[in-house]
Amino acid sequence: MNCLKFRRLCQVDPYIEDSVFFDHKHTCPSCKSYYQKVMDFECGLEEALTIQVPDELSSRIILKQSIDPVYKKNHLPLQILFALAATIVLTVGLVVWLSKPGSHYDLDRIALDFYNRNPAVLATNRPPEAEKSFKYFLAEIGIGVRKNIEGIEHVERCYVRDKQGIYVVMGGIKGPVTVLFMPEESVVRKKLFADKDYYGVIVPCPKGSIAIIGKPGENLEQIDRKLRASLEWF
Amino acid sequence: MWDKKSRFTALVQATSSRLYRYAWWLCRDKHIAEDLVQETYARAWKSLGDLRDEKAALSWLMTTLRRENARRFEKIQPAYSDIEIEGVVDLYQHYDTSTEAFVLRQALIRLSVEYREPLILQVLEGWSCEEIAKHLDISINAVMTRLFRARKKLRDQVEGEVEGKVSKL
Repeated sequence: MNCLKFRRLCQVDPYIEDSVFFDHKHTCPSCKSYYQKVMDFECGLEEALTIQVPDELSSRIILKQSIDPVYKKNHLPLQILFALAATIVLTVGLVVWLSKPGSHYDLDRIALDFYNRNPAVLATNRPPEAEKSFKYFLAEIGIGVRKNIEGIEHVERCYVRDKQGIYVVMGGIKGPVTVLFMPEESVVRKKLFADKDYYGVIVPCPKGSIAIIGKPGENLEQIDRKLRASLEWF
Repeated sequence: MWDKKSRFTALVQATSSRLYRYAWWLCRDKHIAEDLVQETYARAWKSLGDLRDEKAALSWLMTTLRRENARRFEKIQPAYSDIEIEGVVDLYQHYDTSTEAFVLRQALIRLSVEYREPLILQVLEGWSCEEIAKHLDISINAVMTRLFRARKKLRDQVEGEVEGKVSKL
């Protein structure tokens, strides 16, 4: 280290703990004297910077902590805040999802209403060419019939929550079975619903969904398979 | 394991004087300095759980205080007046500058904050250039330049004052 660098360092950081710096100070008498002057100035500087701290400052801070409501505010940790926010979002999402058109809960009830109409429909209004109408009506909602389905007893256009659907009654092993085509009501997965008087299922299909309801013990799966084998969606 | 209040009390007792000095040199007003210190500890109380290393407490508090001080200026709306700048008297000229410490303190007050702050951190707190750079969020070279210039300005001012006094005699 040369004298110039030493003196520059004295002006930048005279407190530096560097062996090269100290070696130069001990070997160069002129820089040693310069360093002494610098340190005298630093002493004065430290004295000038050390201003008086008010009496009892720490006591006042501690007292404020025990009485000031600002300190009493209980701030929740960030993780808990995130968890709370996530719970709220999830709850709102669930409510929206449950109340939106197409939720399982509403479709169950709608399908059940149609099922309850079966006896009256079959007793009073039996169209002569149900199978032909079945083919025609399904075509209107984009479903083609590849193979004739036997046992169609009644077909009519209907509305499921203001959207077009087809209400079908066909024979099952336990009695009349309601099949409700709902091309604009999508469901995510198959859902079963049952009571002592009925047994139903809502199944997703390429376009919307189909509800099938019959008496308890009815082979709904077989009807579903039969429909899928005979129909095509376009 | 200490409870929160004991930990806070120990922290205040260990750091409040140093924090107050730093605050005073940032604002040069004892009332504002104490307000800044109080506000800093109020913030520290809220996030005391985040402080893992007790050794880093002072640095953490000083950073908080520095932000608090900066926040003061966000609220200030300067009022302009039509006073001629030449008519404003420099009050410092009329102070008694008989002792070296007093002269030096006045010189420090006149020093702009960008030069004064690293000097305070180095002389009072014994921080290295690297620590100062981190705290002020500037490069080490910038810190070294500021420290060099700060000392030079102080020397020039102190020597100027002394020469002025001598010539008056």
